[in-house]
Amino acid sequence: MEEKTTQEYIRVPHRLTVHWKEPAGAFVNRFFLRMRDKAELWAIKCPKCGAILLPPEIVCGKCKIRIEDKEENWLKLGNRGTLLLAYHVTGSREIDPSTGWHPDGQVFGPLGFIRPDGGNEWTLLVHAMDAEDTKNLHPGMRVEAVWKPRKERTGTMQDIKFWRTVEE
Amino acid sequence: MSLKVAIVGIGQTKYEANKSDMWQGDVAYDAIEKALQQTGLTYQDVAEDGFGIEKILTTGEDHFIGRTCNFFWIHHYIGAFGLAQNNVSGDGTYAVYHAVLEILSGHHDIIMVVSNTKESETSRGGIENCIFDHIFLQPLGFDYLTAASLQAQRYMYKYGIQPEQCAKAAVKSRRNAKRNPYAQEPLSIDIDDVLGSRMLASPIRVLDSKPPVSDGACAIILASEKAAKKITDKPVWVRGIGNCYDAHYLGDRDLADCDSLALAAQRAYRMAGISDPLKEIDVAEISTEYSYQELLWTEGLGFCGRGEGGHLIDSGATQMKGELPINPSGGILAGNPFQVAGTARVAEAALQLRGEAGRRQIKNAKTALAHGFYGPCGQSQCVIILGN
Amino acid sequence: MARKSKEEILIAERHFDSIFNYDAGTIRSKFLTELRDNQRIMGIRCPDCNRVYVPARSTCHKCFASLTDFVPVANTGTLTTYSIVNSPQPYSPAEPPFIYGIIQLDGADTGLVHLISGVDPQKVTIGMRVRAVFNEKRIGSIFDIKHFKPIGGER
Repeated sequence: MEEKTTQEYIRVPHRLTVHWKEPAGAFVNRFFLRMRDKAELWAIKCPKCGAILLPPEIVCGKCKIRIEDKEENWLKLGNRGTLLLAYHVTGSREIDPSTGWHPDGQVFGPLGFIRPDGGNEWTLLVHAMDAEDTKNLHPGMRVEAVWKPRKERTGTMQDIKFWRTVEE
Repeated sequence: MSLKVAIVGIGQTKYEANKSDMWQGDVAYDAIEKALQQTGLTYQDVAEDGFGIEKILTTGEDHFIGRTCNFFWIHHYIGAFGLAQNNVSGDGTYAVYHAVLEILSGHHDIIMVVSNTKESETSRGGIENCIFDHIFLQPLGFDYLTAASLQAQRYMYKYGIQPEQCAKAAVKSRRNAKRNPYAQEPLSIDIDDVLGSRMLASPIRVLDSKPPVSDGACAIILASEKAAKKITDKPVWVRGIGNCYDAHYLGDRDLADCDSLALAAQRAYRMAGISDPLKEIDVAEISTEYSYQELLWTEGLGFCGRGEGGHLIDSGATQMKGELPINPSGGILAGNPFQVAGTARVAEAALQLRGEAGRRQIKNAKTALAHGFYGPCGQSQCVIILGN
Repeated sequence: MARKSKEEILIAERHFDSIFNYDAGTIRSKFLTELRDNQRIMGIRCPDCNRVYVPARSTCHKCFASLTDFVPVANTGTLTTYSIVNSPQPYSPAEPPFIYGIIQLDGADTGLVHLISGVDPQKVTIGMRVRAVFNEKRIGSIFDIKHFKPIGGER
């Protein structure tokens, strides 16, 4: 007599729900407060190498020194800047096989790498562009931040609605 | 050991329940900056003579930050930009262990260990629950507290340990902490306060337990013999080090005994040439999240025989003025975050040997022990012997 | 320093909610399907040291031998430790107070970790004899055993 045994494999599900609440640190906190309250972008300058850091951080990663919280180290950047590069993620619309997630109905605009006026080669901001695609976005173009109205600003990167190209 | 490794620099933040105004990077840098200032060191790539920290070893649990690749996003705060960095899974003592090995291997001369945890940013218990076996233990809803309560009950039953004896460890820690400026929870409590506090999971009460939330960071700089002598005239030598794992499943071992700690300690003692730890060690900083653990771990560490942890604490030998003071800093019972806890034990033991422990200084301390563990009920244990 | 700041502190909140699926593997799946289909608790014997492990797993942690020799153990056993849990957590398996226990089942050399119920928490003692109570609806989980309860009611 032949006994057939089949091995069954069990999968045990585990639902993990976690919440985090995180402060941004002294400098970035101030950066966000000034975005929210004044619609301004503030960066910090390393007193040693001159790197202008956006977002502002208390340590220069290159010189490995603390950047003191002094008036002369803070720098207000312009509301306009130069577009260095833009790209647009248009592919990858398949269903995620592990989660079943699909970005149905979500529209992803192009992203711009922007150097706000007053920044140097260490200053780079990645943000949303007011454009449907990258056809009319070229390196070297002048761009301008468009802010949400004060009552809609909460102190996040989304306080800037998007950046749009401007003629100068 | 034929080659020598020394602790040359130490930095700690104050441990607090909620550093809500500080970002994780700020907390880490607070400890790092102190260690850099103490040693006058900087990093190899920015030092004019190329003499500086070559590598950074971190400990951090990804769940606490809600991101994978722990420390990657604060690499510039820990000085890792342009250098080597690894994150060690487990308690901070394991990062120290790895730093010692990497220096002994000759691969690096100066390594900084950084441990950084902000428990206040999420629920520690929920994360502890994820540590347990996913099939047999995690669904039962265990965390460190409830697992430890099974161990405490078993230990107290098997060896006739009384709640008053465990409470003595809780009282001693909080009272010692009053002399430690970094401690989170210095308290003037007595045994009745402990025994009258709310029961969390029998037999563990609120004051038998570490504070529920702790934030902070600790940084330690280690160096080879040659480098250490250039950095400090008070090197603290690593004389012995050992670690050992035990079974994870809580039913697989007799929780009343800590065999893995006994083996870890034997390995460290053999290397350090210690045969009578109670006599030869001058001060010990041991990882005690719950009061019974101080008693049980003293057995594993061979300070007394099996089941004699209660007698040892009754004897007063582990008090500040006793034969072998345990946790002059107050230890984890007075508040240290997850994983930073072990690094802080090493830091405190080293401070004692440097004679820089302030009001918590043990006179003439020449040999110190630091202990850390990871996993439920002390599953994995690490023992480090330091000497000057 | 951040400490001196009197500025308003902004807090970012993030949430994570996901389902993980853990594969039990050959030996543990057999343990779980035996609970589900036959209300039987399976141990596994080490060919080298003869220890019977419960729950069944694929290696002996002492000998590092590969384990395949399933042995059913009794649904009854002796409580080796317990804890009455008073503090509720989102991941708790029951409303407090509830009781965890480690049970050395008859025929096993190691303890099974589970819940103890059907007893006044104040009357639980180490050495107490207990029996597994199975769930009506079983799905191949450690909770196919509902809990353990004292044999012969409360003592």
